[in-house]
Amino acid sequence: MAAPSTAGVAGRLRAWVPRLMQVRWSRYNPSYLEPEVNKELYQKPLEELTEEEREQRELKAVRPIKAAPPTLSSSLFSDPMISKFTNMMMKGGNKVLARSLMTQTLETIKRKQLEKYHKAPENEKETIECNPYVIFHQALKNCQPIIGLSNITKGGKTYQVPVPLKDNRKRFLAMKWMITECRENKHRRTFMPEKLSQELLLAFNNEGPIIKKKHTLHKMAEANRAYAHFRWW
Amino acid sequence: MLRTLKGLSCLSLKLDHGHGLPTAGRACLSSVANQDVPSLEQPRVVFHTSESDPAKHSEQHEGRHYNIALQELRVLFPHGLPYRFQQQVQTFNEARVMVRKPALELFGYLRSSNLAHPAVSPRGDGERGTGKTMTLCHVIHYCSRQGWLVLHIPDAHLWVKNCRELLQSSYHKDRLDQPLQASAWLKNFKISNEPFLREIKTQKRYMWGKRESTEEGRPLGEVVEQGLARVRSASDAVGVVLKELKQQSQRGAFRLLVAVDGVNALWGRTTLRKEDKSPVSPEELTLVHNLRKMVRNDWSGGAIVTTLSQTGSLFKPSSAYLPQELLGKEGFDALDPFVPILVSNYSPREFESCYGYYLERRWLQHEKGGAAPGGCQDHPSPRLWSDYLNVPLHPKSLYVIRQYLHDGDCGCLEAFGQGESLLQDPTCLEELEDRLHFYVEECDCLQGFQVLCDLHNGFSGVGAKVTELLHDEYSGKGILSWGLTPAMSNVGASLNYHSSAVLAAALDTLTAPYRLWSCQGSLVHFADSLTFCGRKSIPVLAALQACPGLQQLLSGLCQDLQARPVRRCSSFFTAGVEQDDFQEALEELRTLSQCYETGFGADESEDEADSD
Repeated sequence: MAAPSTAGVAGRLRAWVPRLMQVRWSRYNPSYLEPEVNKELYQKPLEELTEEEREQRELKAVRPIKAAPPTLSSSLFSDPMISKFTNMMMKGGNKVLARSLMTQTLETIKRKQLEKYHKAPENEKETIECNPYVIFHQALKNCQPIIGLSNITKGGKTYQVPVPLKDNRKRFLAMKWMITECRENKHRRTFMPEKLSQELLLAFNNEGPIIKKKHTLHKMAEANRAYAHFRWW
Repeated sequence: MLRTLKGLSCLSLKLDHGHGLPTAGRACLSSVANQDVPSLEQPRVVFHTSESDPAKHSEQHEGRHYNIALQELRVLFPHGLPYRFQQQVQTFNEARVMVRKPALELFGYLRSSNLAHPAVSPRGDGERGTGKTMTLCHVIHYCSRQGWLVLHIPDAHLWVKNCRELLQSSYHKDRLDQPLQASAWLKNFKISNEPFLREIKTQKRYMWGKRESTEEGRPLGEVVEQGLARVRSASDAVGVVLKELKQQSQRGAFRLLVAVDGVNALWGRTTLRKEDKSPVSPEELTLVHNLRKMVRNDWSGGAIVTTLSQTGSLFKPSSAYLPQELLGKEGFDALDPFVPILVSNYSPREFESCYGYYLERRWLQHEKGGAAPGGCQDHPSPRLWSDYLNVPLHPKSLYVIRQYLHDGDCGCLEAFGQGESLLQDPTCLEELEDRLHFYVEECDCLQGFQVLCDLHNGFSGVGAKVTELLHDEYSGKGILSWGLTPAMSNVGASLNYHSSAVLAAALDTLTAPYRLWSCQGSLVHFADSLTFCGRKSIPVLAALQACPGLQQLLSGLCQDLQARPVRRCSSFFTAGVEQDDFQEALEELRTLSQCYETGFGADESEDEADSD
């Protein structure tokens, strides 16, 4: 999509409207720069910056910068995967609740693992992973499918064709399965942190219903291997 | 014994320059060799105390955590611990409570209280989340260890809200009973005070309803059983228990501690309603009525410790924490002669202690969570010797050798020849001389140079060349060079630099004569005192290490030197060492190694001094 020509200098910026209306677009003029959140970059002395970084610094002096969204944080403890998961858990815009559920989940995982750790004999202590972030990332990685199915209609019939998945799609599917599993297939009176922590720990050990779902998807894709040539992309 | 040795190893392993005590160092290393003390034990010494009897806690234990055995915890505190603390006990598989000032103050009052006088009634106030309940629990532990009878009401607010069943009291027409709350409390009371309930006898006959009764002289446990069995009469049973205990403690048979958490619930409002929807005031509840009598200061032979709490209180704003606000006028007057004890948030020292405890128990899991503001014991594993250096180095004094890698499979500075060739490179030499000249010009009176280098890698070549260079440029000044070899295997791998810490301490002591302002000796004099046969180089080898390895090291080195004299010592020979002097030195080395073999002469020996 060719962007219309803009007045690049900060003083003469007109409201920018694209020639063709896009589905997902931003009202910012393309000359606006993204906000830089990394604290370490600012603390580097001038000599240590590479050429590109120096250019960026100079550009910042003349170009305007977009407003930082509330989810963008310079905190050491912020994690994009966890933010994405929290957003997916959120209902009705209640980010406060979603975030508190997420922190409670991580705390529950940590407590369960620490209890196991402190009760285990010395030689087994190294095998127990206590860091909830590591468990979260590994569990979601284990849940990611490698190959997906897509509906392709050919000659009046719809076939389930195995198709490679992009990274974003894999991550999305893993998180989506995790959340729907916890919402639907558990006893209604258990709390979400409890359910989520249980599922995450099972997925970390490559067990549980979500891993099973992934395997069935893989098997289906394997079974429909013959239709793979229907895919044209 | 183990504790004292651990303490010793902890103390001597700090890099205290100028306190080089070889004896302490040796004792430290021998103790380390004998018991595999893991370095993680060190923080325990600072944040924990092994004194588990609260009676012995004093100011020296302030800020430290002490352990309560889990079985004791189950007996002492069937109810009453904060929920978060219970979770923590569950997670860490141990119960550690911090010793804090308010608790120590309370112990002082309790110890000095006179039995004949009315009960001491200290009262803990403080804002939300400052540790009033934990202080109360600490006091309860103290009193139960001293043999007192503890009457612990974990949260008085539970009696004035959320009551499903309110029965009209059979004993008194206007009052209301709470069977569920009363029976729950009786059950927990029984668990924590079993032995007392067997010994204390009732003073009069009590009728429960029309048919059941408890005779005079029966153990109090029967009253409690009655309350548990017949839930309807539980509240009356509680009343009886309280009355009996109050009367009998005055006689002095036992000391009674009344510990009430959230005492402001007794005077205030309730959320309960009678059947005709009219609100219930606290004095209409049997439990509250009886408890008010207990908390009043008209009996002797014990103490009343209470805390005010806003969390869980009814109809009080969340900012209220002062006694007048929480108790109201009536409550304040009822509790009137009292001793206020302020419980405040953690002081920085207490915070550090708590932080260290959490780190040690692996509660802080995030990799960025370990960086404590006040400096924590758990440093990331050091990779370089300079990680241990307390001295700030001037940037101009550092020269980084870029041609070789520090660690890796290849490309490291490993051979003597590599080190030598490095210094033959003109740019390298220039840089080195630049820096050297900068510092030499800064000196008022240059005594000499001290060269420390590794012997086991290419830095030996660098050291040798540098010594030559210095000898050429500054021929009048003394040069002391020290060669260092890595420690033997009996000092564990994790204590990699600890042996060098001890060496550094020894070096400091030895070189003190010419470094201190007050002493008159100079480096040249020192060098002369070592080289007693004139201007010759004498390799006198040793290391401050534990005895078992030393013999092998020395004999090994002896053999090594004999086998390959030329390659290693080419620069020594170019500097003017004679062959027979070298042989003499080798003989001395052999005898030295034999000394260690036979086990005598276990005092520390000199470091290698190669002086020109």
